Amino acid sequence: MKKIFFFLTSFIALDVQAHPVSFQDSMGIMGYHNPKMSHLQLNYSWKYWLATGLHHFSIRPRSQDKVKNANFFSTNLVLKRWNGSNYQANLYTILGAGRSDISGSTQDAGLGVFQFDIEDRKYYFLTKYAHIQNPDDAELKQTTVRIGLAPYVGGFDDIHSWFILEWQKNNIINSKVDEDVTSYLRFFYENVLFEIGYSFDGNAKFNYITHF
Amino acid sequence: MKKIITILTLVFLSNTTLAKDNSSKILFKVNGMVCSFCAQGITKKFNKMDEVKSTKVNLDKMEVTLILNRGKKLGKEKIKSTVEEAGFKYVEGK
Repeated sequence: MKKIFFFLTSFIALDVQAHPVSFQDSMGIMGYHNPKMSHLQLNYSWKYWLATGLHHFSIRPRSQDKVKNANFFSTNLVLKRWNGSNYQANLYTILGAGRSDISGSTQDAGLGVFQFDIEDRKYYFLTKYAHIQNPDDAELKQTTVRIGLAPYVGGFDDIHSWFILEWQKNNIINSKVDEDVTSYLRFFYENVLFEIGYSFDGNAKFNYITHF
Repeated sequence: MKKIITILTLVFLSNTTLAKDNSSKILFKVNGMVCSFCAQGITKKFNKMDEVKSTKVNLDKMEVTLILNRGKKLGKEKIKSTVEEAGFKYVEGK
């Protein structure tokens, strides 16, 4: 049953990877999934710089491990946005509180994420650090760096595509630290964005975002 | 006969043009609007307004054109605040 739940949540997995805050009065659904971890996020943006979010993490570092979960309420903030004449850059933070059993026993935990991204119509760069902490230990430390390139520059009504290369380091409590590099294809059209990736160590990944 | 047809055609065309001109346009630039996914908030917010008939986005020029409904007006401050609510920077039109 848990395997089925993990599988299902994986494919509606929600991610913080791109838009922790969207335009005022909008709802966002974001997903990130790989065989080791899925992160689901729902958020509501009260302002273009302030959102509240709900998070669900499902973590299984190795296929034989039991699935561990963490759930949080969060406040998502745009700390700084630079709207340039041909680029946009953002500094975000997510601060959350909830419960987690990643360490083995269920206890109170906090979630902290810092993210910086910058993009123009051709290039994209993102770096992110995510941390889940219980009163005694760091349960998850995740560092992500991404670079992206658009093979063509599309118009507003076109389907857009990007090549993205991602490096990620995961330090999950009681597990070996692992690093991997993943190549992604990103597509978006109107308010739907999804990414299909395959890591160098053989893991398929699937992410998506929509806001409305 | 040819003259009559020409005059009637011109009258018809001028009426058609006048009808189209009843919808006024507002053009402005938006800094930071680099992707269509991010700019959905702009079209969604403007298209909800009674004053706006349609919204066109030109990502190459980072410009937005609002086509207003007949007889409607939209002030600069309202446009600016709407752009800012979507998370971008309004730059006054040409």
